[in-house]
Amino acid sequence: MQHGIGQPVTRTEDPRLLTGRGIYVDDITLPNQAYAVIVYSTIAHGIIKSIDTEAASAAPGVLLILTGEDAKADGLGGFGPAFMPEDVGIPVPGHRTSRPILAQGKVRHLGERVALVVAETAHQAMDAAELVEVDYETLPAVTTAVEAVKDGAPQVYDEAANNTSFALRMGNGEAVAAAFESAAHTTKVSIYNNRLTANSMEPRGSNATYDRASGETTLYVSTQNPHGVREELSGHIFHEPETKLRVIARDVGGGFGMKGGVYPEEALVVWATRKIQRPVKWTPSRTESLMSDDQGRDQTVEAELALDADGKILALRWAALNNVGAYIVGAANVPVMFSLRLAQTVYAIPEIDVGTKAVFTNVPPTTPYRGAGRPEAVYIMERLMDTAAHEMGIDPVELRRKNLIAADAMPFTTHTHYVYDSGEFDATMSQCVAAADWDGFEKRKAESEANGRWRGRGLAYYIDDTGIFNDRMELRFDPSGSVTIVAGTFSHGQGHETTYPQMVSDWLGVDADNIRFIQGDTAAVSFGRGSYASRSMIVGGSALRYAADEIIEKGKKFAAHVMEASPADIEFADGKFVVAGTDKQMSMTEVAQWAYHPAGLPPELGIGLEGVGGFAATSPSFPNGCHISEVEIDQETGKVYLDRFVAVDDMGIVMNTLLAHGQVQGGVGQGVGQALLEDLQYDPDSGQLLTGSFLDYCMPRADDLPSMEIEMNEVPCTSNPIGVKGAGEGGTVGATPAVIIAILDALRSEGVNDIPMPATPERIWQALADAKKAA
Amino acid sequence: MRAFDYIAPDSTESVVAALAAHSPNARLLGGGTDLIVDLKHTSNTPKVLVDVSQVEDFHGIEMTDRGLRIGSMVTHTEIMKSEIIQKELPAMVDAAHTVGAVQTRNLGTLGGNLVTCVPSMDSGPTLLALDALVTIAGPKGSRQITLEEFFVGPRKTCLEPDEVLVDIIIPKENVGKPTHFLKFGLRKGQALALVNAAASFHVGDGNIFSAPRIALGAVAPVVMRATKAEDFLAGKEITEANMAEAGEIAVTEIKPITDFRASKEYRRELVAVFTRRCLAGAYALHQSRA
Ligand SMILES: Cc1cc2nc3c(=O)[nH]c(=O)nc-3n(C[C@H](O)[C@H](O)[C@H](O)COP(=O)(O)OP(=O)(O)OC[C@H]3O[C@@H](n4cnc5c(N)ncnc54)[C@H](O)[C@@H]3O)c2cc1C
Repeated sequence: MQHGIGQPVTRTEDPRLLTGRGIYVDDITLPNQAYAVIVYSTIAHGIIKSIDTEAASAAPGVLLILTGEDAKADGLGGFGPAFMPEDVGIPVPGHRTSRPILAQGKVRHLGERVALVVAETAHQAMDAAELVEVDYETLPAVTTAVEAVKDGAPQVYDEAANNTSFALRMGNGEAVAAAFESAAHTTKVSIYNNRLTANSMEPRGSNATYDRASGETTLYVSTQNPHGVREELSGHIFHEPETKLRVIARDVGGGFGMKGGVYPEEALVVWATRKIQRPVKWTPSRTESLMSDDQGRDQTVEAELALDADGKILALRWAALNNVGAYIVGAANVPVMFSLRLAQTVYAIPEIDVGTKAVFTNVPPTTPYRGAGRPEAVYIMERLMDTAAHEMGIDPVELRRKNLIAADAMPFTTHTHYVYDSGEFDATMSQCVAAADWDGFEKRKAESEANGRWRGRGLAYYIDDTGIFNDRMELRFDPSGSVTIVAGTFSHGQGHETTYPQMVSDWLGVDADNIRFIQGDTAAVSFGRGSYASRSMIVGGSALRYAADEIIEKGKKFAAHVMEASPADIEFADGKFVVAGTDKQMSMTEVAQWAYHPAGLPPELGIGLEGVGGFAATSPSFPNGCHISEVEIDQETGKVYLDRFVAVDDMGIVMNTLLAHGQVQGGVGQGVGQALLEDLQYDPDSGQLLTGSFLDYCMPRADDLPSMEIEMNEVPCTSNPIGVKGAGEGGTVGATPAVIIAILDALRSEGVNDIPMPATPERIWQALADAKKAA
Repeated sequence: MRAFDYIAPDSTESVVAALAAHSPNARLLGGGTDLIVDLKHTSNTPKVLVDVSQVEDFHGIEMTDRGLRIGSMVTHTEIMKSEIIQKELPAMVDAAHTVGAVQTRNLGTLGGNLVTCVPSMDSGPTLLALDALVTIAGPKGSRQITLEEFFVGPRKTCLEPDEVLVDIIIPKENVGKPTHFLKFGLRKGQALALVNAAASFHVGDGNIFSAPRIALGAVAPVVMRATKAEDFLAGKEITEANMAEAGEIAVTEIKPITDFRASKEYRRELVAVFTRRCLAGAYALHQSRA
């Protein structure tokens, strides 16, 4: 079957999106539309002495101006964390923050929302916003975690000493200390995992409209989680039943975790439309996105590995600081905790001792960003492995092979209580080494050197924990016999509109053209949790399987009734219900049509053919894989040319190879971006954003990436019914260390042993100069 | 960006008349890839935009008695596609190719690039290395000056508010002169130049540098010539050592700054490297033609 599971089916959504017929939030303009502009804090830290809105209120076209005082007066709440350590059983509570929808009394980062201006046109709102006079008393700012924990550093919250919200530690400190004492070799690396931002192609945006007749407000928003937005706004901001708010997300142009939570602007447009009883739309510029989107990574780590003389790992120890920015909101603690929980990655390590602190600073909050904690864990581990291999004179592949968790050790319980259900790490690594033409490297290296370029190669083995929470999927036939998938997950670029129908078509034998896909509207989807943490195929896909099973079971009863047989005698295969041992049969479509017969159905069958499936990822799944990159470096300028990239991934059973490869490619692109180009830079003294436009925030482009070779080693996952592992993040997790390790390999002959991310040409040039000086 | 009037004259005279009528409240509009972006960020919108992209005199690439004439409204894409430029001055094709992305090159014009006059402009170095001239029209008629005179400072040319750039002329003797352009940005495409450079020279009898030119961008307030390095090369034998030496001399002539994008030390290093590589590239072109 050409459309069956595993086929490289091209994306149903692409013709629409590629010809400009997608509908993004800014494409939605409602009758009598008004426009909102935010007044952002222009300083990183300070006290709001006064806000003068008089001139702005008098400006042409202005309909409404709101400040934090108004929010207070209206009794509106703020955004808190989805969970804190104390909510998951850790004894010492952290400092919990509440992010206001408009700053009240104090601003804690550049770009914090201070006022909302609504006008007849966007330009009028912009002009008026410039007239809002905010008088600040500027306070000293701190932008890095390393500075923030020092005594005497500016305090983001008086209640959080040394700007520390909480400290977490996992493992066995004593056993690790003993292992380090007796180790034949110890390796140490210092790492800064740079601060990034997602830069989704479609920026965030929202448009809300209040319906006077029904009293219901509808919010159109660019999000990864429409029901989550409703839950947060209703529960925490407006303190009202969720029935008052309908949230709709149409096409969403990417999220990468950044749109997984809810933002002040979404509350502001809802609040504003209720006040002026006109639709209120907010569309940010790219600069506003760079300034106000929640951000990713920013972890500083000192890490050590203890090994015996043969290169067997004895213990892993690291201590980190996570710069969480000015507020802990939504899923902000996910990356903090996930980096700890995945610390030992794919290695059999006798003892670990890992810890981190969540540190407040005067920069925007962090949020899960593609990988969320797993890139940090894997980056630490792979840098340690690579450094240890070179220090000990052991081939890096060999050192890994000595320490990888064996396939026959599955299921394997880690020190942090993850259970790896499956994985063939050694075989996957061997497959990648072969695909990368490992043995041809020396020849390529010689050729590069003849052209004035060093060549280096980097191998990284990653693992990722994917899938979280439960979710709900529905299948509904209609009287014509076509079927609708009602998804609780939310595709914002992943291609669910293609893959879910592909699966349903395979399972139920319905032509994919007769399968409709609905998501992202709280009025049409009774409940859902959206998409993040590579959860959709694991949770949504499994739930969909159960929904299909329910359809089949119900269908058998209808078929039995129509064909006058016992349900027990009905078999379902290839889209047909067959009375066993006879040639009597009905297609799924015929059965579905029968299920809507106006009369004559036995009451116990009910009316219609629908199935609901639920699945909970009680255990995550663990996609893993090996990435090998080769770089060339210009010996004079330090510029890196990424020349080859090979990935062998185990994402369990692959539903659509084309889309799975696309996930790897895009993920690798983002991982390479972090390694070579992307960096959010703040002025350390003023906390001003230096990389405030695409002129300076350097996104990777297609031509910065080589043509990648991608292979799969499909090892079915045993913790879900369809054998899948998450596909969305692995590329990002593996690529960053693979590229940095390759750079270090290229430069090692020159005495360079470390390079910060992003490894810009100047940093490489500087590292070479420093190494020369030190030699 | 706020509301403004828009006019699109079709001759040099009517452009000049429109400017006379509306300056200083008028701005000229070419492809708009600099201007429109700027207007979005300021509230001082001009009252009138005079679109000069429809003026026939501002178009075309052709050989004249004086040299190669390129209309100010020729786009970067048109430069890349021009057969005569591909053949005679491939460095101009390379420079045009580094400007932004496909969309930017389809709209952005050579004239717009020169008038915006940022230190990192990518068409500047090659044209400077070719001793390009520019034709300016204004109320007092038209005048011709060197491109070097045209550039005054960062975002500042010698154009008066009532003047318009008509075309760019590459003197006859330099059409076909071996030239090479290189740009160094943080990524392959759509990147701001940290340094860009061009070098050109004729190969004189006895394999010597004749009329050498070195032009550098992003390392001084305006695109500049490295005249000391040029003087050093003039009449010397074409050797790798001399090219490298010229690079070292060029470094002494620049005024780079340190900012978060790059340090001045690094920019100096890049200038040494790129000067040498541009000279080597120009020589390679000469040899490939021979
Ligand atoms: C995404 C992007 C990427 C870019 N990348 C690069 C790059 O890599 N390298 C680079 O050098 N530039 C780059 N640019 C800048 C820009 O594209 C170029 O400078 C382009 O050549 C400008 O030409 P234009 O016709 O669009 O100018 P416009 O924006 O139309 O005009 C620019 C200026 O010139 C004036 N002007 C226009 N025509 C005339 C005339 N005939 N006489 C007098 N004044 C005139 C205008 O009033 C205005 O002040 C980029 C721009 C964007 C938006």
